[in-house]
Amino acid sequence: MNTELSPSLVKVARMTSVRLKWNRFWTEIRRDSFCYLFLAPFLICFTVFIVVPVIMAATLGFTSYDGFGSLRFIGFDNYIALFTQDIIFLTKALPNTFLFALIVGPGGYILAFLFAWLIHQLPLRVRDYYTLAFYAPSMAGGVALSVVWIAAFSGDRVGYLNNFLLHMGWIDNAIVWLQKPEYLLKVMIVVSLWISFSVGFLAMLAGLQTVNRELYEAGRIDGISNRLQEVFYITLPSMKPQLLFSAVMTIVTTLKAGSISTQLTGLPITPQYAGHLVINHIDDYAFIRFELGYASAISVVLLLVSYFAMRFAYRLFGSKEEL
Amino acid sequence: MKRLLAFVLLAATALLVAPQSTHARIPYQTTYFDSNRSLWMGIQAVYKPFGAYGDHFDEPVDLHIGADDKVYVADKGNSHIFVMNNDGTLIQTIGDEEGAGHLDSPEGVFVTPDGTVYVADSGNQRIAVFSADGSFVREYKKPTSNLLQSEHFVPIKLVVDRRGVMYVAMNASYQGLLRMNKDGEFMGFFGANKAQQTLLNWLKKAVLNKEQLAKENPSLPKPIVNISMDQEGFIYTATAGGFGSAAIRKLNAGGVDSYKGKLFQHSQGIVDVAIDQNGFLYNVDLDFGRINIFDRNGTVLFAFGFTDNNTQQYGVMGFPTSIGIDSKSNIWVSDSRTKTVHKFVRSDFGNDVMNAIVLYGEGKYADSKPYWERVYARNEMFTGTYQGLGKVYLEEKDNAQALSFMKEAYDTKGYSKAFWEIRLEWLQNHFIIFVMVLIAIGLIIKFLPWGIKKLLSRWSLPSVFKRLVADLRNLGYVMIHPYHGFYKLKEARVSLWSILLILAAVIGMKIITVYTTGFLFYPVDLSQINLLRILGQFVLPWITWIIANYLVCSIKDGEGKFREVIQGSTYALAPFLFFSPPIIILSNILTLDESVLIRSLTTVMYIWMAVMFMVMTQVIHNFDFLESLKNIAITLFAIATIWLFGFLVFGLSYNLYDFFYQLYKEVNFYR
Repeated sequence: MNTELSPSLVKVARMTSVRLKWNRFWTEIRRDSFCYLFLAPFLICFTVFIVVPVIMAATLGFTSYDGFGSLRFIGFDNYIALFTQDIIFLTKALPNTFLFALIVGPGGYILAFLFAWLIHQLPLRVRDYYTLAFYAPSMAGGVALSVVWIAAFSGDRVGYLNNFLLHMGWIDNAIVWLQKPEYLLKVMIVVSLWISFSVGFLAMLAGLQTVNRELYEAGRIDGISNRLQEVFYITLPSMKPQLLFSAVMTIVTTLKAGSISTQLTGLPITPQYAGHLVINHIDDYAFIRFELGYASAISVVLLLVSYFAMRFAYRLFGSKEEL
Repeated sequence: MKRLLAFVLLAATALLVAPQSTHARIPYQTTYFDSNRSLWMGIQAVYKPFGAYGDHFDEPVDLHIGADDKVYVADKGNSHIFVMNNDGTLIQTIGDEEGAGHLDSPEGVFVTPDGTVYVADSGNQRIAVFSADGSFVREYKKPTSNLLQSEHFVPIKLVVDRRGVMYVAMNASYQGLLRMNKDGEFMGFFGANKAQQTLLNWLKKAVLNKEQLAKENPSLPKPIVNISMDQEGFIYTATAGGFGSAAIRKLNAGGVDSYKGKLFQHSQGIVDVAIDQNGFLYNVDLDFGRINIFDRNGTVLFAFGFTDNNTQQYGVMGFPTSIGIDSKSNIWVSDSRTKTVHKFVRSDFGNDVMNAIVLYGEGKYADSKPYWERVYARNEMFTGTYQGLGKVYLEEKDNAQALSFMKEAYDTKGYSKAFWEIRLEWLQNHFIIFVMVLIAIGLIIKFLPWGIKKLLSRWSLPSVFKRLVADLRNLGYVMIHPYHGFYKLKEARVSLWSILLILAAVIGMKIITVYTTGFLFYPVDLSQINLLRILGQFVLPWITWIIANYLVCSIKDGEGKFREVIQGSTYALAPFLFFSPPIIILSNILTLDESVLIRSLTTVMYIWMAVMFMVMTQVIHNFDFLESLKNIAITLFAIATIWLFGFLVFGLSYNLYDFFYQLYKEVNFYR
């Protein structure tokens, strides 16, 4: 933005350049103060509720703090302990989260697009009802979880899944789906896939409606012969912003998923740490053991991970100009 | 000449007649099961034949070892129960010549701890009870019950629990064990086997109507052939057939099998099962003709023994009918063909091994150490030792030692644990350096392409290399933009050298993968690798794919030329080249806990490759999407046919070659 700089200013001695820049910054702000006034409500809220907590968490990560006593600065010890001592984090939380995010992230994303596209094919009259039906799970998440899924995966003979399998003769005894370590993570993945029709799904539906209909006709003239090509060559490229948005939302929701396991099993820590995700680990240290410093360190790591995941999403879906 | 021949013959006979030096070799090979590699391997004897008893037997069909280690043998031929001391001397005969105590071909015997003898008197269709001194006490006839009206009461085996409740196996009954209380009242059937529910049956049930179903052979449960009971009162049933699934069942009071239909190795023709005080299972099997030892989880440990039709040797069985184990862990086997009862005694080696396994199974790793070490001194090949000692070292925090032992035992789980500990220790000592190296690697990856570009711009390569480099860079481009990339490839003419270079790189990568993938993810003995075969399995499908793809698509109006198919198929291998190095590196760093990373990377690699091949077919032949899917399916079918044809031709021509080779040898020999 230094096109307005007059050439004479460049020649000013180095000593004063910092002060000069500061002055210029203030002049610019004063000149644009009207814009900043409009921005102020957002900026203040953003700072107070987002920036400050993040910075506080980041600093808390360098301390040992139990919530009652005084802070004790311990440098990088929390991080070193996290990657060298914390067996549960390294052997359970990280691999579980990786697998969970790997399946639920892209899986939920693709499902969301698929259903949004399918609903988009419906006539306008009924479309809204279907949309509501599909969006309902994420609105009524907690309640539906206990009503539908806990009943379905109930460990006794009357649980829907057990009942079905027993009826078909495929199993002999009822399986305790939600307490057995080998099934819990899979059940969690299924449930999360179902819940994952959230904001991303709506954004995609909106995105589908923004696609210019004339493009389809143009494409047909240019030799597009089937629906799949239409989706691939016209729909997807035209709704890149929505795709990006919902990818970011998916990444955030999958990485911060964690309450599902506690809701499904009814235990703060899942049996044998089978469904232990990073968020559960943070909860464990923050609200069960009250090692707030350590928990903050973990959340900082999680923040970094989600930042890089988002960078990756921008790489994939962002157009070159936005980067 | 004739005289010479006679002399030679005489000398030969003399040699044969002269007493040879004899060995006290055991007439059978003992083997153990290496569960980590699923292999049977030879080992020295765990049990040795000790003796065979019974000049008085005619057809011993069942035996039972009493609480005082007396051996009770039911002799169907003689219609008597013989009682032997533990050294094999006959001390008592049960069964009167006539009257109520007369037995008629008894097939089963059970003795309660107080010495009361229950006999399944199948000829008289009753259960006869004798007191400890051999006098007849009472009999149980067929209980009266509506449920039993059509049933024949021919008891063949039985056990009696502490309350005096009898569990009777009846001849060829699929309903399970008949349960009768002390007073002879019917208490219901118990522990019936499950009927075989196959997919075909299920389908029939869904499709056929009632009349048709009635004509089908009903799938009845298999009859129980033998019963045993352990000291805690669990009932074990032996059921032959079904490839050993649920061959042995451990039933609790509710009739529920705690092995849950587990598959028992070497138990397809199971005859009987015995349980020792440590919970080990011993069975004798007619199909394999051997005695097998299982641990308490039903995992097979050892197999020994041998059956022969006309045996004259100690330790070789003719037709084993029952097995029992006494309190000194001696195995007794009744044998109706040789009309004897064999006794096998545990060897010192066997004692050490079994004690070590008991302690190991109970988690007393430190206690088991001296036993394992004694086993190790006697046999360095037994992988159980390595596993056991590995666990001991792991417990003692001697991780390096544990690692090497676990590797020797091919125990990936234990290896993973030991490796985890070692890696953790290393990380704790070198964390700062580790992070710095990671950052350095990250920077190198970020700036390497830029540096290479710079270098290339400074020294311009000769034009041949330039083309090569361009071709290689295309590899990356095709991988990320398959549609556009293959379209460009279709027009371009990639030089032969680049293609060969890429193929060589892929094969080189495969070799590197085979030899440097971490032990945890490729647990094989590197010296046992048959590289040619692995490469063959890797290269042959690719070549057949090219041929089949070209043939099929040229019939189905594909545009691709043969050169283009080769080109495309080579470039489609790109994901393998790019994904393998990180997989190899990770496989050497990660443990089984983090295996999900490697598994997902590998899955992504294969999916990516499949997509590349699909896109290649579509673009090169200018198909539309569905058409190319169809053609890929046809191509896969063509590959299968080519292979089938190849096998046929190879097999037949090998036969022909073999014929001529044998002929040549024959002619050569008698020339």
